[in-house]
Amino acid sequence: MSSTAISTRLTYLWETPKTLWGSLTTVDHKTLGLRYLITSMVFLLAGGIEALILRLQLAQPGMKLLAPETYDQIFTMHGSTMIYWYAAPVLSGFSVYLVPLMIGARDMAFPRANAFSYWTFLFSGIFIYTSFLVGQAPHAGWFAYTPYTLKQYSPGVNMDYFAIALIFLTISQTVGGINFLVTIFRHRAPGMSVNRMPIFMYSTSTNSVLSILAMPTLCVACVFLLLNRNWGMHFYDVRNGGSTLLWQQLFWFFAHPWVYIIFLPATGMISMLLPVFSRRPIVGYAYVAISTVLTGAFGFGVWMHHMFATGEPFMSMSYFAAASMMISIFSTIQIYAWIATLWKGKPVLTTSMCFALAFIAVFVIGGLNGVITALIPFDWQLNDSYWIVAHIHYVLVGANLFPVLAGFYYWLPKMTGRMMNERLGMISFWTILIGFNATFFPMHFLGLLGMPRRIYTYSAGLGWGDWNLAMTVGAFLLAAGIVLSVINFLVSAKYGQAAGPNPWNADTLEWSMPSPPPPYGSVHIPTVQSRHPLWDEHDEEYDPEDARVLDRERMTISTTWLDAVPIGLAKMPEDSIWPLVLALALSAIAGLALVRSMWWTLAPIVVGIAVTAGWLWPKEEKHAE
Amino acid sequence: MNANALAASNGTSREWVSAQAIRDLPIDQGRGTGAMAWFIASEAMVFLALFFSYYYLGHMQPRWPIGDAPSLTLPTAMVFILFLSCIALWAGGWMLRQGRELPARGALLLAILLGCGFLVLNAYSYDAASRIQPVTQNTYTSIFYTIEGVHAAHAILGLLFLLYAAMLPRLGPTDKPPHGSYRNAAMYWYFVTAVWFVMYAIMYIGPHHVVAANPALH
Repeated sequence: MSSTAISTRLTYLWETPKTLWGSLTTVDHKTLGLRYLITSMVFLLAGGIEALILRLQLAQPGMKLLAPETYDQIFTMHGSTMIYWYAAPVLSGFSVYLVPLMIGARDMAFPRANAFSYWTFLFSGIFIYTSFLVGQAPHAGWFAYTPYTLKQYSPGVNMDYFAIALIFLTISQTVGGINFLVTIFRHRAPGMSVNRMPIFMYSTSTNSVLSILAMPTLCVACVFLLLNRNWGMHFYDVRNGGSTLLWQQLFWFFAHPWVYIIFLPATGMISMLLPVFSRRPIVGYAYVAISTVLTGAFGFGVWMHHMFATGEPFMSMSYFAAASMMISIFSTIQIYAWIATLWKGKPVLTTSMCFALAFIAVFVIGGLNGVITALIPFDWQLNDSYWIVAHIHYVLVGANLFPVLAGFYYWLPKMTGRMMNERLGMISFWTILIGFNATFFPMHFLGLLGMPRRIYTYSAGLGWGDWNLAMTVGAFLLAAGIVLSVINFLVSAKYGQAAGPNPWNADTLEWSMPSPPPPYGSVHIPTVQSRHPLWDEHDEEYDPEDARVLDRERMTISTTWLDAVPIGLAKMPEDSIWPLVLALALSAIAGLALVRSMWWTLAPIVVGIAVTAGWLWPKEEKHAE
Repeated sequence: MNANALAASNGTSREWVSAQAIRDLPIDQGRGTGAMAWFIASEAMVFLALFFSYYYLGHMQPRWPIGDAPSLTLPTAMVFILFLSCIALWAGGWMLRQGRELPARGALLLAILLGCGFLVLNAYSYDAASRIQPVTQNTYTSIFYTIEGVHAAHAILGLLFLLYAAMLPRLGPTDKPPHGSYRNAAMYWYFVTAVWFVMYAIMYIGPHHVVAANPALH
């Protein structure tokens, strides 16, 4: 059978028509992955503009650019946008795009749920940004401590927006997490047993388990907040027997794992690209994989270190201090594995590699300035000062933005089929590195000098003005660097040199197919015999009888979760409008809950149920004969 | 493919899986079950957070529950109703594995009826209890009724799953998705039942036991 006939049939089965209808109904993980990436980059730019406004206000003592209330709204939206709507979704974007390609599956296990989690993510972000239109954006910081968030102190809809949008986002993340787990543990190519999976699979699946198990607690905390604020219940108001610390307990039980949700996949990306640019396999594969999983597990046992200043029992604090120091061991193992890989390899300094190296350096600083705040007396001194702001930015920008940029420079040639401009990339890299350190390093000094976080201005006599001015200049430099990279992505995607299937001579399966990959991935479902399919002798797509082309219906192979032995053929659903409609129904529920028309929410709920039933109903399917 | 074939194919052969082995593969029926298991894990965390809050709010009070411990009569009846519905579902699943579609569908309908009975009793007990202690009275009533309400919402969702499975043209293995709807819907219903058992122990039996053991609390 000719290979053109096969690829024609596969294209017929898997391609989405390039029409408006096609773009609303598509379930192609590559399209959805790109949408995830673009949307979260838009949120990054929005959060970045907010940060620049904040830095202008703080550039000198006594500035009057922003009123205090506006400042509160903007710093809250900056934090919330970056942490919830940029940092995790951008990693979901990479995972949605790359996981099926890396494991040799035709798509995610639940393609329509994949579309649904993208639409919910998009609509929840739009929903929280509509709060600016009514002038009542959330204004209590990204962790929204009670009692500031109760009706008495926050009478507007500001915090209702916050709570409802986060419940909305929880749905997206949970559905996404379930989808990744089933995909990774049921659809790996035959032979890709767990000890041969790319490290990225370990980080994505750990991240998914964390999302599934941690986000419900946030959801519960937000439901309590809404009930307390609007329906007269008593969870957080002390006067009626509630507990203001209950919010902190529930929130940090969620939010510390969340730190790992936005950090682990980024380390997974580094573990993929750093060995490629070091021209050797990663050192200590098993240790890196195990520490990834253990970081996730221990991430559930450290939340109270955010609450050392709340007067918890000493015994409990000691436990959490010890656990917080211990968790750094696992990150350290990973860092030593990367250093050893560099040491034993022949590093090639591409832009992507430079971002990866900068990540290691910045992350070590962020780890060190964090681990000393696990010492309780030190924490008491620095709590709520700019030291903590320095720590969070070194960790989150260092361990999320740098790896994400490394990932973009590494994988965009696969996604667009064009090489990035290395020269512009290096200019952007140095601008970002210098701007980043100029912005955030002085925060350590300001923290030690006693500058509290979240103040909208400060008086001249305190002597904080010079550092603040330096930080504002640094922030603009950092922003310029990011804009340069974005320009690089956009221009190169159109005019760059053709990339070819494997420009970096990398080892994993996504590099075995043309760039950009065809809608169906590889023609033959690959088989795998080692951790580095493209570096070994084995021919992944060797299939003389064309048994693994699966070109009659939309199908992919199901395998056992441990050894990846084939156990079945999974039928994959086709494009569908239902995920979008269901996400719209959820948006309607969110909007109606905001204005507290609870009886009216029954209408979108009924629509949602009907849509779900239609979505799941057995249908006639495409056949290629 | 058995373990020996696996070991042999890991050797020098270029071809890892024989073409015949791929052609013989059945249609995968189990994908949704994995998703349902993770979904239940996430739902279990919702209830874990709720029970944590119940105790956390309680440990700050001199007396918990505030006011009388809730009555045991209806909740005990509801335990039995849910238990019976699970037996019906389990029996239906057993018949389904033997290929007997019709009795399985009957068992499914029985479970749905029992589930509706549970919801009716739940609504009735809410109505009766909230007349004595309104939801907004204090922190105990807030958390108590929130847990009840969240569980009722999950029971409604579980019933919708069961109802959907009952309406499907075929319950057993199918050629096209959705696969294993009966099994997945039943799994979710077992979870709803298990949560009610835990609620019964924590929120109904527990307070009676504590009050009985400490006469000073009377």
